[in-house]
Amino acid sequence: MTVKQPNNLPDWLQQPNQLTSQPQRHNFLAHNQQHLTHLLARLAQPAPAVNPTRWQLSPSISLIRLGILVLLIALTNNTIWLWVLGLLLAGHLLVLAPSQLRRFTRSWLLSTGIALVVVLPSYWLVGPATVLLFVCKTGLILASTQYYRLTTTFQDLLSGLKALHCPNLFIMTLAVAITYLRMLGHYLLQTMMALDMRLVAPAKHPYQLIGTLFGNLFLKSHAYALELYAAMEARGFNGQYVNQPTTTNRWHDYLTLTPYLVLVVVFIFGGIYGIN
Amino acid sequence: MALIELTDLSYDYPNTCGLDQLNLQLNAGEFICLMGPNGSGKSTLLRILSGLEPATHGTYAFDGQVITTDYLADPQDRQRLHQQIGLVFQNTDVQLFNTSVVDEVAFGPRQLGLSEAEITQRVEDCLALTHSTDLRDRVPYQLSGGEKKRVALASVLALNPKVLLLDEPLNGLTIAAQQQMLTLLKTLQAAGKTIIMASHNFKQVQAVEPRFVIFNADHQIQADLTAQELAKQPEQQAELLTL
Repeated sequence: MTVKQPNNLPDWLQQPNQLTSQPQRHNFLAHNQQHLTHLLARLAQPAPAVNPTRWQLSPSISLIRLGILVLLIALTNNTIWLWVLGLLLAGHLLVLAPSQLRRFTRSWLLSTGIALVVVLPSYWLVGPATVLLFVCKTGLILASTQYYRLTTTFQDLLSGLKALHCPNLFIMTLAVAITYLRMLGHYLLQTMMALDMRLVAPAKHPYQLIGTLFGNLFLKSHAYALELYAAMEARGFNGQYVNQPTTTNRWHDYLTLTPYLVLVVVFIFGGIYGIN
Repeated sequence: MALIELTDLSYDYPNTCGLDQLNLQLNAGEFICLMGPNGSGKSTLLRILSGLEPATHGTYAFDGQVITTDYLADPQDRQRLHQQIGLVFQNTDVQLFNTSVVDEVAFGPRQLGLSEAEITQRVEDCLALTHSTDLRDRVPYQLSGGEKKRVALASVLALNPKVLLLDEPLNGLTIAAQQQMLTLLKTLQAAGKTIIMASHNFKQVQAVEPRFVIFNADHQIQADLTAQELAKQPEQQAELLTL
């Protein structure tokens, strides 16, 4: 075998490639690779949050609103109450743009469907009434969280948690974990693109390839975690996370909270008179 | 007929514009250097040319074949395109996933179904061309940034693509290694390959006299000049030196 010296191109590199076209042997894998790529693209670059109102709602009020709604849904067993809470939620959804509403509906139906599948065996154990109530409550909780996710950026979530005096270490861990997950998603997406560029024919050992990819991802994520911590230490991090001062709320922030506070009051006094 | 033809090509990210109304014709055997500020769309264009992403609007034709979303959705068509176009990623870390440098370079030729003798020949040639022969038994994961760049180029060259796309190939290389890489690219061009590279390093790239396609911050093509034409425009040169 003769090894060519640099810049003296070998013959095979100076001749055009014979294009080959081999039939796909692993359609299932190829199909799923595309699905995974789309999923990773969404993870690495999530769709931007939309603000449905004219003013920017304070992150802490937005989080309190979600907390009250989820709490009320979880605590009540009264269908009229669920209906009222559903109406309140529907009122918020009405101001969403059609495209956002479509996104909301798609993901909400999917998550509620999964919840229904999980709880379905109880239909035969305790009867349809419990299943129906559970699905209604779960559906409403999922809708509230989906709406929150759709209208709130990750930065706003962190600001909201800071304003509500959540432990700093928890906020920092959440921030690093989400950023890290997105980074890993982006990394895996890029790796799959690179693999796609060099998979010029159906893969000979596709499962071995998947194993190699994930092994690499593990090694690199471990190295990245160590580097990240070293970088934090180099910038003075000593285990104590100091956060920035929180923003103050304005009058219209409190105004949007009013219906929720009214509901809480009615719920508490309703409990005394036994209507929830 | 041009090898690559872009007509009113645009690309939109979920919340920003990636490319805006590009019209460009690139001929076989050309050496093209894409230049422009950060985020101007150079890497996005390379991803579209490589068939990793379809354009949002407009058309992209490669060798007379219009590359549509449907075309890219077909695995066989996609693979045929990737046999003709090779891409060296900006972050070469994502490109190297095998357990040794030899396996990394042999990965592509193995997919093509070449004989073991041919594969070995290609691997040794590519490692020699990229000055990476001494790295052959190393683990790609443990290489330095510059070494990874060289191995990534070797792994793409082993497929003998008609068009070579390189995203910032000179980053992380020493001056000597940059010159070696540019010399290799120029030699490949002389052998008939089409070289399209994105770079910020005007001073180094100038030496190989490429055709300069310059992007502006609005994701549009600001200028399309040969090296000779650019030499007559000191203002444009001064602007490129600040990138």
